Amino acid sequence: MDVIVIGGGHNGLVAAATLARKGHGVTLLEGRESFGGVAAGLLHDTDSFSPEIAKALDLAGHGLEFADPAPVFVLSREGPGLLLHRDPVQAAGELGADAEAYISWRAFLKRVLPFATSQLDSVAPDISTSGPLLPLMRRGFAFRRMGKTDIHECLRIGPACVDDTLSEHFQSPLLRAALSARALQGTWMGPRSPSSTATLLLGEAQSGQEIVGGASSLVTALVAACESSGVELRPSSRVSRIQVSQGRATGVTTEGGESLLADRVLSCIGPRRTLLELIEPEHLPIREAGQMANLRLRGTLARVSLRLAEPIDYACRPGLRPKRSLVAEHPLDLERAFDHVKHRRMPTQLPLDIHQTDGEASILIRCATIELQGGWSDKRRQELGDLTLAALEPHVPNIRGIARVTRILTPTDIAQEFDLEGGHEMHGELSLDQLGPMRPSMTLARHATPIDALYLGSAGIHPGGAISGRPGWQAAQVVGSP
Amino acid sequence: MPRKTALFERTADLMTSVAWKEWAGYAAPCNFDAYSEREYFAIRHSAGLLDLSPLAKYMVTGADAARYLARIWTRDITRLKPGRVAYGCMCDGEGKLLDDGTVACLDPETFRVTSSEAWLGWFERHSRGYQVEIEDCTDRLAALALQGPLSREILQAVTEVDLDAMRFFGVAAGSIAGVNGWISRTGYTGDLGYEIWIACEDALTVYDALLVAGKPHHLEPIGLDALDVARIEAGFVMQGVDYISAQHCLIEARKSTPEDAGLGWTVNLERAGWIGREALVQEQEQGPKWGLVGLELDWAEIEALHEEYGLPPHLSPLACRNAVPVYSEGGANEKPVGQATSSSWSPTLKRYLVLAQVHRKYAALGTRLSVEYTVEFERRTITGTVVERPFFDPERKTFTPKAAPKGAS
Amino acid sequence: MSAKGAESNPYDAIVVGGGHNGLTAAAYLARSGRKVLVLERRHLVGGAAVTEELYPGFKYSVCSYVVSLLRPWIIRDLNLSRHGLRIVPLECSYTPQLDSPGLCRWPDPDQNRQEIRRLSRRDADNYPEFGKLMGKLARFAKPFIDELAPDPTSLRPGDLWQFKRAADRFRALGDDLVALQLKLTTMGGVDFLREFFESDQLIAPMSCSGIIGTMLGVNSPGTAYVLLHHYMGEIDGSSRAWGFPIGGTGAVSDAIAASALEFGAEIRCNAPIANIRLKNGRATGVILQNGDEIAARSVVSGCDPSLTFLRFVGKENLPADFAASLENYKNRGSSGKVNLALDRFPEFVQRPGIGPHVRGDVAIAPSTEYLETAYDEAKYGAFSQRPFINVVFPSLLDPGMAPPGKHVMSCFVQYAPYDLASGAKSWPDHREAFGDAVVDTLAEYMPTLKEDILHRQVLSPWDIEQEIGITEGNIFHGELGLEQLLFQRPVAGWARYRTPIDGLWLGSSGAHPGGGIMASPGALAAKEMLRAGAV
Ligand SMILES: Cc1cc2nc3c(=O)[nH]c(=O)nc-3n(C[C@H](O)[C@H](O)[C@H](O)COP(=O)(O)OP(=O)(O)OC[C@H]3O[C@@H](n4cnc5c(N)ncnc54)[C@H](O)[C@@H]3O)c2cc1C
Ligand SMILES: Cc1cc2nc3c(=O)[nH]c(=O)nc-3n(C[C@H](O)[C@H](O)[C@H](O)COP(=O)(O)OP(=O)(O)OC[C@H]3O[C@@H](n4cnc5c(N)ncnc54)[C@H](O)[C@@H]3O)c2cc1C
Repeated sequence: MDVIVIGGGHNGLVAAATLARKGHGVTLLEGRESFGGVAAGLLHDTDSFSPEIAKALDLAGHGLEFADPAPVFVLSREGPGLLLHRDPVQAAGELGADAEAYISWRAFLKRVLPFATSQLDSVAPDISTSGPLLPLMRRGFAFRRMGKTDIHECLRIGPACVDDTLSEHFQSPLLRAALSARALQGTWMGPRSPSSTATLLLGEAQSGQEIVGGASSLVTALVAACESSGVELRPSSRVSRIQVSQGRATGVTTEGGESLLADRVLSCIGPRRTLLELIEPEHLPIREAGQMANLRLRGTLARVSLRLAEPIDYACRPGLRPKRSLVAEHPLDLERAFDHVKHRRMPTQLPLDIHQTDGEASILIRCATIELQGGWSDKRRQELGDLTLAALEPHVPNIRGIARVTRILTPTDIAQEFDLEGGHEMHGELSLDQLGPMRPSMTLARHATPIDALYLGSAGIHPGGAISGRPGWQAAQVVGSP
Repeated sequence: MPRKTALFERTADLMTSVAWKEWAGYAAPCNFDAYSEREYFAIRHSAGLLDLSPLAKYMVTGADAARYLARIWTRDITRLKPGRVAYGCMCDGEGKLLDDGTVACLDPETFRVTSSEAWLGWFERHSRGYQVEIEDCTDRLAALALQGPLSREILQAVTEVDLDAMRFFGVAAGSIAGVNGWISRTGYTGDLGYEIWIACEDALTVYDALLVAGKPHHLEPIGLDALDVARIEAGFVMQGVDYISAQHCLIEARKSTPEDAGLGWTVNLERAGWIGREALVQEQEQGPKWGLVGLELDWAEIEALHEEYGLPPHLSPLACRNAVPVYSEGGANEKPVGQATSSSWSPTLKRYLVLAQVHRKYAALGTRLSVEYTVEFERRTITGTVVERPFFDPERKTFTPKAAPKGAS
Repeated sequence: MSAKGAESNPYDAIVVGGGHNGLTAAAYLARSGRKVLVLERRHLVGGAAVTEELYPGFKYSVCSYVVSLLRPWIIRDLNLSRHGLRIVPLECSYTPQLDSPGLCRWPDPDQNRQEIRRLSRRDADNYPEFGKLMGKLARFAKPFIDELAPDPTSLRPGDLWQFKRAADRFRALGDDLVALQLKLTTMGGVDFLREFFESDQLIAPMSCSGIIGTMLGVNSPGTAYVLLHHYMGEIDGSSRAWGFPIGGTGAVSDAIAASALEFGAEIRCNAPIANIRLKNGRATGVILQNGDEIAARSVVSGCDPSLTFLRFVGKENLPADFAASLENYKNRGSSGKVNLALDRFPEFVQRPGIGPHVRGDVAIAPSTEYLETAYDEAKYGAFSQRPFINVVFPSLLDPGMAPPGKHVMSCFVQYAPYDLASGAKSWPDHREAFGDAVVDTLAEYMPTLKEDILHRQVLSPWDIEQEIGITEGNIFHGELGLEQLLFQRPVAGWARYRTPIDGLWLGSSGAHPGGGIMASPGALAAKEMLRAGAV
């Protein structure tokens, strides 16, 4: 069977390699000159990639290595900051009064997350009213196995806001801010938004070991896996149309005007763009058209890159020089930042997510809305750079002396550069109504579409964002089945 | 609270009755006199003039206008030529009827759509991906219906558009009583007739000019009651009466497909890409459940039934819109097999006519059914026979004096 | 009555708190022939549903001011109309704007259409469709407020059966409505409404229903589902959303009290209790603040969960996990109330006159941005300078509420956070400034308002706590967030009116189905007690 995979982000690469290893003829079409999509060189967290997928694709054979995640250093103007290890025992020394609570929190997560992870590792359940009941009941029973107390706790905290949940356990605002920041990635929420605890749990369910060398090592390994299994890799081939004939996808047309035929087409770009832009509207049932028109993907991400004359040394803990650090001293700092997103305003005080490597720092800002009133201009872009330095200055008094801003990507720039609709890194906000069997919608979450032979497999599909490889992998299983 | 149309001032003046009813949020005359008979006979023997302005009207323009309309309409609008009008209907994703109306092709990228009620929300929701602009022009555009055997002569007196050459379902721009507008040879009476589309501020001018021109021809302003009788004779269904828009149905059973409502002819299942098709293909495979039939009630039975009570048969000058059950012949004690939705005594045909939705197997011509009929608070039945629709179909409806050879519009 | 006397002839049940739920529970118990005593702290019954004449001739519905979900079956069971209950429907929902006529939403669809068309024709078309969809979902949701909340972890046959029935009904909705229901329960009000409408002037007032009584904004996830309330509301069984009780909301409580008395219940005012009396972990009666003890076979609390358990019972007497859950129970009052006595009717500049547009509720909710900003201020511990206000003029609906020609004006205000940045106890220092912010805001729309005010009552959540006794002044006895609803109200596994203390029951707004003048918690609690043979 010949399969075309659209989009060479990490999910497209995973899907292509998986299908090729099953013996299918796979062509991977990527619009940009290089592969990897958002995963190529932009990202900080790489601890979500599924070790099972790495194993199945023999990524280790292509040079991929995992290691325990590096701790994140949370900066403070009042104390020594907090060096946060995921491992509770390692973290204990830093956590003081919260140490015990952190241990029991981790223990709670360890009890409840295996169920969530098992859900992420399988295709979304069919919850349509004509769907079979038995598989749903089976999942229900698996959930029940968690035990009454933990179930009650999950159902209680899931819809709650992450700030409340964390405040019930921890005193340290630094700890709460750090955990909240992670929970808010890919969402359109602040720590006081209800249901942000659910995204916290989702993130935790996905996280494990991180990739040595960062996301670019993953991309290198995936490209090598594709090549060795015979995928035809075609960069600079942006797809402009998916051809549909009599309700069936038959191939694609690229911007260069080339037509390619295939037995099946798997789209590993955003579901909304796939269905609303790449297909003539006549071919899409109105239900799915409506669902996609309502899909929310308001990007809030910007990045500032710094060249460093010397390593950043934080005043609160000189000499530490952590790889990962976070400027957010209180969950409410994150909430205030989100207020600006909500009101479509330029942020004033920036929480920062800093990744420092030799001579460089990449700083992610998660409160810059693509919907900015008046739009993003050059002036606004510069302002973002200034704000970043201003936010660093209290922690690194000499920052203006040692750092030079080399590149600023506003959400609009990210949308353009990475060909991302809405500048949304996950092709759809993470929110309860856009997760699990509802991601991206009730009838599209299981990779198949109402158009025969057309499938979906990007971060916009269950199980969703982050560099996990799971959407691509699961889509490949569905595409590859007869 | 109903609003006033651009012609309110005049129609209110002409009315000797105070019989208003609400039509799509506007006040519309039921009849101008105590009875609607004179108006009805004007439609059939001279001409009647009706204020159609409450009709929902949209302008759809743009490079993809035809393709877009072909998506939301059951008819293939991409094949509609400029100067032509197509009657059709609109379905939801499950193939259930939303509304019916006309699409007029004014030029290859400009269409005027009419429907019984407002659909801008629906239209815009499904316009994504098409280069179109949709304007709701209901409030800016007035519409008049001039219907009846003499309508051509009357209208010709005030316009230079060559009406002798305009074919049935044609549309043309031109000046009418000195103002610019459009004339289409369309109507809801099953007779020769025209509809005139002009800006609201010109409506009075045109209306008055037509009244003057029509005076020697016994033109009558008409209201909705007369129209209702005429449309039943013509066998036309009415949204909200003979079928209920799926948008308003709280339960599935109330919804109708085009086949159910007698509009199956507007549907081409071969053509792909229009909303509702997939579901209707399925319906086709399983065989449609319902059908719309025209019934003629047995007049002798009606007379005999009234005679039982010592009453003369009551010949109401009004169409009746109260739905009543229809049974298989003599099956009044069993479950109904359908419902009669509109009925009227036809003053022209001298017959009692009924439009009914019945189970498919009772829809064949000649089938005899029992229709509920109440006399003196007692529910009885009258035998009705399925007959051809339209009940009344004069040649003048479609005859064009200067018919151009086919294909030249 | 002496403590001894009570012991010798114990009550079947003591109801703590004479709010409308407590009274309802008492009426149902008495109706079944039980010997019931209601103990109310204040000098009058009603709790948050009271009418008081605080200024001669002017009657205030001090706290709650309109009714929606008062269960018709309770009205029938307790013969409330015979006891004087009369509810008139509100005629309109008016949202004024400063620079345009604003929006009136009427019961009549065509009238609505004309109004909404001025803002957006598309929205006018979509509005009835939206209503139809919500109506269908409301039909699905409604049975939940009239029965016990099933626990999804429970394997009790009753729960499983209820669950199966709910699941069957859910699936019967069909895919599109199931998806919509899932979205409705999880999304933010504004996001949800934007799927249907484009006009912010329409979305803003519609989204308000989701924030009432919560410390959430119109964009906060989980606020959409309250939209259903509007389509579930029924006055005398017909589904009109909101109504005003003749005589103010106190008249509802008075009617229930009259019914309870007729059934033989005893009601004692000025009788605050200090503790629920426990013996071997079992509730055996109450101890009044004056030291009197009164014995009863069962005690049912008509007070909020925090007050009931943490104050009346005491943390030390509760199972640890139950106590911990209660400490995490979110009260967080966020609403205040300003009641005004007016010399004359203060007309709205943009829609002058005393027409039908003011014989309903008036929402100061000009835009979603406005509402969200009001929320932001509260989040950080300040009352909103420009708050969301829901105004009703009771004197236009019931002339008896004010002297002829004069008026009363009821203003429900958000946000007024219980926890001010300077602490809840500092509310007395901020109360008048808060009142001024409300009046200033209103005066922008009604320029003569300030001159017309004869008397003003300002209630902050702190005042509500002091006056009505509700913890943190939360109008619903605890936020109506997803995590505090159904089987989780107030604590997972304890939503069936029973408590971990034998003989103690909870029948207030803090129990399923929650707050508002519904009377269900009280009625369902009483029924459950009777069913369990506890009284
Ligand atoms: C700045 C940023 C920071 C992030 N930080 C983290 C992080 O720290 N940790 C984490 O786990 N996740 C992070 N994410 C999110 C995560 O990277 C994404 O969710 C995930 O990589 C998405 O992968 P994907 O393969 O589904 O889609 P993409 O990576 O978006 O891949 C889609 C590919 O398709 C291509 N394409 C688009 N349109 C066409 C077309 N018409 N024809 C052909 N090709 C096309 C694009 O060029 C792209 O290469 C971040 C995202 C961004 C943008
Ligand atoms: C400002 C405000 C506006 C509202 N607006 C509306 C509205 O418009 N519509 C609507 O439907 N709902 C509204 N509500 C909510 C609604 O009024 C309440 O949810 C409902 O009235 C609560 O009734 P209840 O019987 O459960 O409790 P409550 O009314 O709180 O009754 C509890 C009773 O217990 C008594 N009590 C307290 N402590 C003791 C003690 N120690 N001993 C004895 N008795 C004690 C109190 O005095 C009180 O009478 C509003 C509430 C408030 C506060």
